[in-house]
Amino acid sequence: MLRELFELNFTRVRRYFGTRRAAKAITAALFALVFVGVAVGIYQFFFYSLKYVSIYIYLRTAISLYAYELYFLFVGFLVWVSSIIVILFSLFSGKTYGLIIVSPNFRTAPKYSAISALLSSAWIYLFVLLPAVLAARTVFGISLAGVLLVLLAGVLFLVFAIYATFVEILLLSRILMAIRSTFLTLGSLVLSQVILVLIGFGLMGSRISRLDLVQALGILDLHAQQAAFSHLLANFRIFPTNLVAETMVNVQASGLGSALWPAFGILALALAVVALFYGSLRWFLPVWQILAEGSQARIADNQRARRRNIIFTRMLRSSFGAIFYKELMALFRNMRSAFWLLFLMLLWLSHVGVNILFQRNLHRYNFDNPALTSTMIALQLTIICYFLAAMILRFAFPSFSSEKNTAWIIASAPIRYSRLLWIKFSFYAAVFSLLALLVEAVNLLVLHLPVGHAFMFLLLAIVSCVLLCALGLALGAIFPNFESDDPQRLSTSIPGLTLVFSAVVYGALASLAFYQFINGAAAARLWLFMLGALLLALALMSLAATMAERVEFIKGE
Amino acid sequence: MQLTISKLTKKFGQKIAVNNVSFSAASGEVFCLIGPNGSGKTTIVKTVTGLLHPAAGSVQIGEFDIQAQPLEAKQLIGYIPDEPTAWSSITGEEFLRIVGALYNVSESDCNARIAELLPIFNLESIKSEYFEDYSRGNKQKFSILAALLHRPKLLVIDEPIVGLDPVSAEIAKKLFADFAKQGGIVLMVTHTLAVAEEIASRIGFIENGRMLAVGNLDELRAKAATGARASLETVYKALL
Repeated sequence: MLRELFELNFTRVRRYFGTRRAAKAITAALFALVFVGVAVGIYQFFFYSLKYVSIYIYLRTAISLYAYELYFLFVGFLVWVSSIIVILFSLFSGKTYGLIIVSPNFRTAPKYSAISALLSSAWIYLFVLLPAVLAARTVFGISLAGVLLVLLAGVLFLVFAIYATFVEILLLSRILMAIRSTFLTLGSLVLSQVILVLIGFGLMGSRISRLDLVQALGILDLHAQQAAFSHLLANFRIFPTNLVAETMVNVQASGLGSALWPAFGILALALAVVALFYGSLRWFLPVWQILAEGSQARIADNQRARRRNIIFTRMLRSSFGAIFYKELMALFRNMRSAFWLLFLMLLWLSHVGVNILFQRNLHRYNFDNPALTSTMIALQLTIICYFLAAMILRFAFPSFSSEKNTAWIIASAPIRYSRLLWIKFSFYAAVFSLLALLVEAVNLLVLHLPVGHAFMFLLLAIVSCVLLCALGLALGAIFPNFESDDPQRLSTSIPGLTLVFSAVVYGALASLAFYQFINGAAAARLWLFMLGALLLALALMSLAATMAERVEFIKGE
Repeated sequence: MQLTISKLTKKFGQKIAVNNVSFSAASGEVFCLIGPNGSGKTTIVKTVTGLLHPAAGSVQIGEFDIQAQPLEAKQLIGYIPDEPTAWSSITGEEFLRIVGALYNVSESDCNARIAELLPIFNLESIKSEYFEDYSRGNKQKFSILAALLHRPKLLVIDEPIVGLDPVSAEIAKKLFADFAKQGGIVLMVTHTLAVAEEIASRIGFIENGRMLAVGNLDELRAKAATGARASLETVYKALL
């Protein structure tokens, strides 16, 4: 049964590339190019960083271990959250696995889902792991066997992370059912996972932030021949990624023999969770049956919900309000969208965390340098644009195409597609500007900018948000794709890539403009830059609105 | 008020889905389009409602052309699709309110209409549940109510009773017939010939995108030479 499912998926991919071949081949090639570019970037980053560190015999092992710990922890966090999303919103969706569940082979569904998650994460994981390992091999002369051992440890970590997430979700569902059958709903499960992700994120943040590298590495101990790193290992021991980092640093510093122990450790963990996964499969069917029922939510059944509803339904007085309202509900009431938004917000917030660490360490050891500080502040705008692009790519960009199944409502109503597009623009620009304001207001507290600079920084962040929203929606409407309902699949396209590239390029320009402004350039130049960005947004939306009028919501458009 | 379709042609790439089709329906009429799968019925309906652009020809709703004056023309139409899908995470009641706002129904009128319409299919008890969780039949019922909410003059229906239980199907048929009796026009696409036979004033037979015959049942019987008491099914088989 598993083989047939994988064959079916393979056939689907082949069929997908069977139509509009040239465009899809170019898209695939461009994505491959992006991955290669990312891999080369990671290689270069690790190569030059490790090469620099390798000069200092005293520090090189400890500092490289610190880099591996952080890197694997961050990638491990991404794998964990993406596994949660796959399980909650794909495995437990009645639509995806309904036919398998009614067959006697119903346990194939979780097995297939786990292997699919593993395969889809594995190649991306190798893309980010392999360059780092190869850079370490070039700098420290790690043997080929050592490289393979680290890669194996990485894959075993993936197995552990994905299967452990399955076991955790099934176990938690079973416990909820045992306490009271009505406790288990998709909502309660999503909430529990959100809490776990927040705890995990907080734990990561606290473990990273509480670490004073100077103290942990014993740098102030003038008699030591090499920096101690037992504190470092102990600090990250609670995370399973620690075993991968330890394998890598042992391969690098002491050879294959000592690296085998942490590798065995991760093997043991992986085997244990796979065994637990097979053991927990007997809970799968009753849990699936409940979760696939749908919410059957009676949201207006209590007074509070009714009051809240009255406030929101006041928006339903005009076509503008109606579309604004349905976008709002689709973004925040849909658990999958809300989970994605939370995930992206956490990543965005993590850059504020990095700034806190950076600032704290600069102050602690009196490394304050005005040039470094202003560069860092200006670079925030590139980071903002990148995170905005990620959110716009996930939500705003596919928004026009995903109206395909509901086009009968809007297309038959007395409202123009151009107006629909402008309302969507107002919605996404407002929501993302608000989010950008919240995150960047916190960021500004860390960066200690003068009030005038802080005002211009926030203004530029909002203008960037408006421009990128216009770009995302315009690209989505000018190049609609009605072949899929899945926003992730809709985003995986040439226009999607164009959005991200353009956002990064624009972000770099905005950073430059702001850098010049805080270093004494005339404010008028920055005002002109913002005016130009707004005019560009207006032009993009006008073009998209004109072209949207000709759209027919049919496959093959 | 009249619905006039003149020389309508619709192509998808090289494929001609609707080929030079003309017909009209006046106030008080229920016009049924019947024909085999893939014959172009739904394409005609989608072109009438403005979901598709015609390659040639025109659709006139009252005094408005759907291409030239889409906002005015669409204000007169109520559309019930064959697959009623709504946006995720909205309730049945919210769906009705959103549709009301899209058709410029005032808030107070919308509230009154919803209160008036929900009891038709006894939907009050499930109005606060999410639309995506409804059964096929309940989705269909909500889409029927949504189409009637703004008091349209033309009701365009693609497969009216698929998924409805027998009692609800009876209610729906009566609703459509009453709509026509009160001066509205119903353009209906259906495979359920009994429904067409029961409520249609005139019937159009369509095959491979072409209109083969138009008329009331007696005229079609004569054309098919099936005898004066032949059922619509017999006429259908004889004509196609």
